[in-house]
Amino acid sequence: MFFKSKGKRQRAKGKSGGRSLSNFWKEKCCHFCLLIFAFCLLIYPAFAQDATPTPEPTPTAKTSNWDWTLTIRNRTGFRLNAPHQWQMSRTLVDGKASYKISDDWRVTLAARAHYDPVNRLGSSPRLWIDPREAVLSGKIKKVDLKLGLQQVVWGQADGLRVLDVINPLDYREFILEDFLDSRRPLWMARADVPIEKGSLQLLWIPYFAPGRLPVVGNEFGLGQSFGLGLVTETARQAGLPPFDVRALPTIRPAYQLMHSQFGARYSRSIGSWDWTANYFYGWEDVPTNQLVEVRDTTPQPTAVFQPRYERRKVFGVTGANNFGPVVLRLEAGWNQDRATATREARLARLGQFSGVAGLDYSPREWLWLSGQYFLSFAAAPQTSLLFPRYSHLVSLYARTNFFRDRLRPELFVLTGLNERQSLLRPKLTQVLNDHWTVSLGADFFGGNQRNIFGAFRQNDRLLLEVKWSR
Amino acid sequence: MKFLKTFLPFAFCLLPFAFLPTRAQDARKVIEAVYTQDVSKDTTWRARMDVYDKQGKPRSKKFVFRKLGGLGNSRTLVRFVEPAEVKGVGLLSLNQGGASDRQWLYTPAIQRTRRIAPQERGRKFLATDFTNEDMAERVLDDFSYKIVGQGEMIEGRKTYKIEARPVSPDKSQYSYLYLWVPVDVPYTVLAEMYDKAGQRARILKASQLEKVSNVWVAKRIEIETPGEGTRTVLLIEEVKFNTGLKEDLFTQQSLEKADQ
Repeated sequence: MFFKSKGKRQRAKGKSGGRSLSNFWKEKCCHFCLLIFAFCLLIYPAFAQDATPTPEPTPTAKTSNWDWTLTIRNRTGFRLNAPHQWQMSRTLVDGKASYKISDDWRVTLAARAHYDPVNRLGSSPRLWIDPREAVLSGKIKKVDLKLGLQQVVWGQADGLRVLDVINPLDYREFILEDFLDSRRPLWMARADVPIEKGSLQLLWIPYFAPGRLPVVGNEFGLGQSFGLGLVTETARQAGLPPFDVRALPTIRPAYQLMHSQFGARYSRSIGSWDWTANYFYGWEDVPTNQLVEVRDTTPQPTAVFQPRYERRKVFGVTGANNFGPVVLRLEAGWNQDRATATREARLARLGQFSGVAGLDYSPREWLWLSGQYFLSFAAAPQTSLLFPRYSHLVSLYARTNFFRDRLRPELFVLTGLNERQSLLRPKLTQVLNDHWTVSLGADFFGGNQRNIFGAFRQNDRLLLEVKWSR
Repeated sequence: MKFLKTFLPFAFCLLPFAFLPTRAQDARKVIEAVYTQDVSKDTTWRARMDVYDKQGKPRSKKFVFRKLGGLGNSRTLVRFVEPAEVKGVGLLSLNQGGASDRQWLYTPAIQRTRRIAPQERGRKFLATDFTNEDMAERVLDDFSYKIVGQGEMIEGRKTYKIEARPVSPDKSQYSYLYLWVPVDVPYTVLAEMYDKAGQRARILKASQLEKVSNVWVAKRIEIETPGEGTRTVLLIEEVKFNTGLKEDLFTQQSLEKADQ
């Protein structure tokens, strides 16, 4: 799953006490109209430019062993809820260079320079450099090797994480950043071994690395320890007497070989189906908050929580096939021994199932649709669980394009079926030329404050991204 | 004798026309020669595609195309190298019977390979003027052929003008095509495609013909959509045959190597 929800959500009971649904959508519509208007102003100059055909090239053969790309982006977010202020103005410079050592071997280096003077997300206010990739890749006999700092992506789901759990995430912009940007690359050894008609991927990560988390006061912070904010809100809405919260320093695994992480994935096509079987023995990327004591303090008691990173053991399977013009995607994971809150205010280690079924379909040349149903449940009866046993979410993604793919409107909607929460993400992207792209989007949260998306319902934002790449 | 003197020259003039209706078999042979002239085991070409909109503004994409296998049963891998926005995007297709049987798209922006549904024949290929049918290998038996003209000069070469009609409506988005094939080169240098309403839907022009490793190649292919006022130019910068491409290059694992 993309957030650590089960242990932190409260059972849905009683009224939400939030904005009414009609007001919510009215407000969203107003924001969206504003967004469209602003975008039209923005892209007008692009249509007004003269046609300048490029000359046809003289045939040349590419011989250099070097290959490089450079991308400069600015992501500026503006809060649509009070206080109306800049949420961020992140300037990201991504450089990537790759050198071909031989036909089989290559070294790739990538780094990101990052600067956000607004500094409300929790990242450093100063310029900082983040290595993104340092990989030696090659082949020994038929085995593909990738050694170094890298990302590994598993799974079939879009925007939701079931088996895509190898790399921890940077949650400082919640899950609104592309996963490619928010995944924290890890030093690891990866081998892809062809076996029969399939391929076995083996991973070894010799250390533990946590997700990057916002703290109290950050735009997407969720309490003293990430997620504690949901616990206190849940308690408040459940009518429990008020109490203070204190989080002890987080217990994290030391840099020891015994804290290594391992993964294995076997993939193969059977008939027209693409299948994978996955196993990952790693670490959760956000800590679990365990109530350790309630102190009798004045004027109100203090609940003391101990955040601790827990082991993650995930078995999974994915499948994909197309039936005529429709593609079916399946992904299921069984998270063994996951720390889950019980009614006795303690954490029990229970199995948790998470699964996604998705359909992709393009009914018209200009329209691409993708719908997903997401289900998760704990392996225990509801009577023993503090939070709802089941979670049902659905998502819809629609994309179209105009003017020969120069203007691309997109819409992503995610909504809970049994818990009132939603995320609405319209976006318009204008490709100005081969190097410049500008996009304007918005993120609207809705729902009950004890749910993960509802918790940020006062964090709606308008987002402008300007990108230059070559 | 007088009759012969008067009639023979006239008869010789009529000769080509007299034979035309009966030359369906010849037309098929001409097209078969076009489809089978490339007997290579594998093909690699680097190309640039310039897509022009109604205002004549171009957008360029550079890519490497690799193919393993012969007509009707091949594997293809298209890897985009420019612009940066699409760099590393890869499309792997397993083709059977001239159509894409299974396809996967790798997008570096999400570092994931997705299964995609082979699109309808009439759909545009990557927002260009080419349709999927134009890009796919044609199947000889899907059309019937007839020579309807001969001798027209195109790019300095005498050509056959051949009419190709799908044997059934589901075999093509077009109701018929005119194909011009040089008498001395088995390659379609000009094609006009007519839609179901009988309107000229697309015009394809192939030029800069060269023989590389005994295979005829057009280094410039332009396709125009008259109804929309748009066109796409495909420029082949480098082409190689029989370089020994291996089967493991055409797998999902290989597709994820964006630098390949």
